[in-house]
Order: sequence, then structure tokens, then C-alpha cells
Amino acid sequence: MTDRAQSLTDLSATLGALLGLDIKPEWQPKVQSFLVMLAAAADQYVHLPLDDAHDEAAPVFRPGPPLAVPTPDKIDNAP
Amino acid sequence: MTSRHATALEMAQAVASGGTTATALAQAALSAIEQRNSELGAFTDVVASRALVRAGLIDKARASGATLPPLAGVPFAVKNLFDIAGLATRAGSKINRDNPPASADATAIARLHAAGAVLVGACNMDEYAYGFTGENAHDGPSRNPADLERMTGGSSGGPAAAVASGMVPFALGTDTNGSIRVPASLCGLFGFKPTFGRLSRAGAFPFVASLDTIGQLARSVGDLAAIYDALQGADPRDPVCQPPDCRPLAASLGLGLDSLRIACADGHFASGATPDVRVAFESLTDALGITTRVSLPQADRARAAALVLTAAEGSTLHLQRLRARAADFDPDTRDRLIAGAMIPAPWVIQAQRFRRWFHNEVMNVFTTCDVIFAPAAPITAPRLGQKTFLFDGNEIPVRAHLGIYTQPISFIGLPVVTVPLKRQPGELPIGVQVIAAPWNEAAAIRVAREMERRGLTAVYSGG
Repeated sequence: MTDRAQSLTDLSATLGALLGLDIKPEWQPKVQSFLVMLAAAADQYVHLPLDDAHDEAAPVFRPGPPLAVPTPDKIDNAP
Repeated sequence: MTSRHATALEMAQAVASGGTTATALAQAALSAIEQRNSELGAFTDVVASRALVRAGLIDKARASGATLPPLAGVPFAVKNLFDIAGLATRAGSKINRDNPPASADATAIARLHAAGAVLVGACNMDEYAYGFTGENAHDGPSRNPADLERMTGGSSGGPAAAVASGMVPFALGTDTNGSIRVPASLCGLFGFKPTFGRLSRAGAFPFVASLDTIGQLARSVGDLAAIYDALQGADPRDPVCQPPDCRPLAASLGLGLDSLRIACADGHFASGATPDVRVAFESLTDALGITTRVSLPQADRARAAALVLTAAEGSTLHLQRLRARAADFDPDTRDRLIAGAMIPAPWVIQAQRFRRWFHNEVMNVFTTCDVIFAPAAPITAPRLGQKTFLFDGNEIPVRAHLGIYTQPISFIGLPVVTVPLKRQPGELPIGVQVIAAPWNEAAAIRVAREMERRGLTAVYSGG
């Protein structure tokens, strides 16, 4: 196992707890292999010199007026 | 009467002319489902009573001399993530079956009803649309009518099996990363993924809000256009659905290729496919005389970013279900969603920034051409249960990577028609993506129609 894979193994248990997930031990190998796959994917673009001029919450082609944004009051009272 | 593999428009014409009745078509579809669903795994829910009542109303309307709508009497199916009034919207899951029944039909179903089409049931899919195989741990796999031991592709696998087998002439699916285009390719059907935001998703269970698109699988380009025209129009129930226009696509069908600049995608899309896919693709481009090659810059990175955004957004959507009922997920879906929930924020934010960059670059490419060809899938249908395939000499997972050519395109919301290529007897289906600029569905449909007219396409019509 690479250093990164080992780090992900260690982190997944901690993150699972933080997220409130009850991850069974037998699920861990596949969860970790997917994390490694996602890390490899992110490696392809995460270093690129893109700044907040490229920020885009998506959808990318939406014409017309902006979507309604919930007010802080609505967010505070969200279920 | 109409044949089992008649198109939707042929069926509508037969009903309108009195050659058959809507009731007869509904009964034929229900009978085909009854006879073949146990081997194909296409349908999970059948709404026979509703279909026969609806068909009876259409027949009454015709008998009274009323003008029939364009798809009057045509049976259709939907992926089981669309709301159907009275049914729980399962979205391929076990968990959602505990939800209350939907109180109303999804907008897309309501619009097809207004066009006269008759819903006969809901179809199998990868759980929560997270997969390209058409396999489902709860409902079993959908099976490819071209070879029952092979995958349909997914996640709209059940709809593809239903249409390819002739149970229904068309079905609605959804496409987030390739979930219409991959099964269309593997099953030998036309597939249509319009521009992101073109068609209403209201009443369709979501997966990745910034990528989800609804669309259809069908047996002809004319059907694609007629169905699309029935579905078109803004919808206040889906705030993302704000198309800039609403022009009938059927009017574009006869325009041919005049003035269209057509190119093939190079780079990412020209590597990795198996020889049969490459040969089929090159034969097509030779037949059409396409010599222009274009590069979609950094398409491999676009695909990687789409993979990460999908995992992050999908996991966010399902986090509460993962907390409460993780053991009730399909294990293949659950483990990917759990991993997605753990993604560091910079991976997501950079993926969104990269989407904007990639969008700008591809818009520059569309100043030099109107339509771009690319393969739809790197391989023909894998065997059921197959976990990996070879891509450029590397063994990679089927479930995550069958969409390797479709993901960069949907990442920036482009419209695509998937076209089934003509094949020799015994060969498995292969499809090609016909890609256009945002909102320019007409260009893609014109090219697909011309390919069909020239005999370069073949919809699966076997057993």
C-alpha cells in the first residue's frame, strides 16, 4: 500500500465518524479503493492555476434570471 | 396492426388512420412485458389498469372524430426514478420503496400524456442512477436483448432493454454522466440527451443536480424529435429548466447536412477503445467523408473532474440515507457514496473551476465546427457480472468507467444524440455520440437523421 493509500485508510475511519456514518469493517476495503480512485482523479486537475474567476456553482448554461437564494432566515429554520 | 419493432410515429399513424387502436397497442405492450420481463429484467412496475383506461379514452376520442395529439396511443415506459402518481418512486433502491406514493406524475410524463402517449410501466436501473452497468442488487440486472448474458449498460438499463426488445417503442431515461448514451450504445438504440436545462426534471428523483438531464431512448430519429417536442418548454417546478427557445425539432429533420461543419473528436476520444469500436467509428467517418479532427482540450481531466463532482454531489444528496440505512443500499452504490462523502473540499471547488475553464475552451472549438463525433462507449456490452475491462492496456472497473467518453461531454451540459451504427449479423451493437453546442439540438438531430437516411444506422431488432 502506498503512503497515500495508508493515509486514506486512516482518514476514512475518522471521517466516517465525523460524518455520522457507521461503516462496517467489511465495507472499508472498497470505500478506500474508491477514495484512492477519486484521489487519482483529483490529482489530474487540483493543481491547475484556476482562480475564483472560474468559480461556477453550476449549472453552467442556465439562461435567464438567477435562481432564488434562500434568505438567512429560511436557512436558519431549515429542518 | 403494427409490428413489434414499429416506431412511435408509425404506431401513432396507425392509431390515427384506424389501422389499429390505442387499446390494442397497450394490450400488446402489456402482453410483451408479461411474456418477456422475467428474462429481460426491464420493468419493475407495470401500470396496466391505468394504461388501458388511458388507451380507451384515446380510442373514444378518435371514434368521436376529435383531432388526436401527435403521440396518441403510443405506449411508453420510464426509468423508475420518475414520479408516477400512486407509486413510490424507487429510483432503483430498496430504501425509497418505504416512501409514500407520488401524488402526481413527473412533468415529463404529464407532457407525454398531453401528447397522447400511454404509460405502461416503470423500468429497472442502477441504484440511485450511480452506475453504468444496468445491474441492481435489489431487482436483478436488466439484460441486453442482443445477448441475454450481457449488460444493457446503465443507469437507464431497464428502459434500454424495454425498447430494444420491442416491449415499447420508446422510454424516458436520465443522463448524468452517460446514463442514456451508454445503454443506447450497448443495446443498439437511438438516445437523446438534450442540453442541461432544456427539459424539465421536476418529479424525477435527482442524482447530481449540476449534471442531471432527462431524455429518451427510441427506435428512430423522427421519434426522438417528436418525443422531444412533446417534452419541451420551461417549467416553474424545475428552476434549472429555462430554455432560451422552444422551436419544434421535427422541423429540422429534413434539412440534411448543408452548411453544417462536422468534425471528429481527437485525443481522449481517439484512444483506448477496443478495435471493433475503433473500426466501426472510422468506417462511419469515412462513409460521411469527415476529415476534420478537433481536440477538446484536457478532456481526460474533464472526465476526472466529472467523476469527483458526481461523487461529491451524489454523496451529499444521500448523506442522511447513508447515516440511517447504509445497510439497505446496493453495496456497489453505498461504498462509492461513502467514499464520495469524504472528498476534500479543494477537489470539489477545483473541479467546478475546471468545469468553467473546460466550458470556455470547448466553446472555442464550436467556433470552428457545429457537430462533433465521438464514440459513445469504449467497448461493446460486457458480460453480466464482469467487473473490469482493458483500456489502453490498463484494467479498469466497468461500473465507473463505461462512461469514459460520455462524461467529458455531459460535464459541460452539451446536447448529444447517440446513434446506433450499422453492424454485421452477430456483432454486438455500437453507438456514436453526435455532439452539438449548447441549445443546438437541431444540429445533432439533423446529422443523426442524415445518417439514418443514408443507411449508416441500425436499431437492434432481434429476438
